[in-house]
Amino acid sequence: MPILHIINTSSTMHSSLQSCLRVAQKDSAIILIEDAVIAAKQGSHTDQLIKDILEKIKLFVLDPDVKARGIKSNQLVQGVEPVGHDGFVRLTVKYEGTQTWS
Amino acid sequence: MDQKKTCLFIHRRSPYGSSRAQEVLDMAFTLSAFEHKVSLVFMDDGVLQIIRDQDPSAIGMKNISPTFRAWEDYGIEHIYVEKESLEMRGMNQMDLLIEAEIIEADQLGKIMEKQDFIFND
Repeated sequence: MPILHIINTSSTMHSSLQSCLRVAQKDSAIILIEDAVIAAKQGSHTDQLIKDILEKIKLFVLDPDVKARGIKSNQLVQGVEPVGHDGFVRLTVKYEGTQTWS
Repeated sequence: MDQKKTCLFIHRRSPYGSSRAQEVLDMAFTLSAFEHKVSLVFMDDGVLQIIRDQDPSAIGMKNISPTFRAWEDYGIEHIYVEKESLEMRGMNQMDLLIEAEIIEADQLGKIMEKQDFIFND
């Protein structure tokens, strides 16, 4: 059962992203929502980490949360895929299980 | 529900900062009492829930430890502890108040994929 990992807390304040990465399997995917989206910004402290993740696992960000935080699409680490609320719902259907890291 | 489900409870929070740890634990034990196949995982600050010698009497909180001693009576299938979370906090098996299966994160990821339901504290 491939899992969609949902992270909603800032990686500068919480260890959710790191904890998720320890357990995430290759067939799973991660979506960053709410305060977690800032981790996907180019030049942030997680820039290299995000690039490493993308070599193994699909990584999505919730676009409305990205826009709300003043981050433009071209400022996201290359390979990170923005999705809207509809895309988020589709992902939760595509992956049989979800796990929220907050 | 007529069918037995596999349920994994992931405990990631320390026990006394809020009542969430206790409440989620109550939920796990209840599901297990109704014969679902319940397993618990402790990772991140959740490992602090099963440390020995807890005494929250001076802060007016209920001690969570006795609940864990009843896990076999409630038919909990497995209790897993993620190894790196223990090591990050300078802990090992000797510090735990229950006998738990200490596992690598990757193994935990595989266990998660086999569950019908995953719950978080």
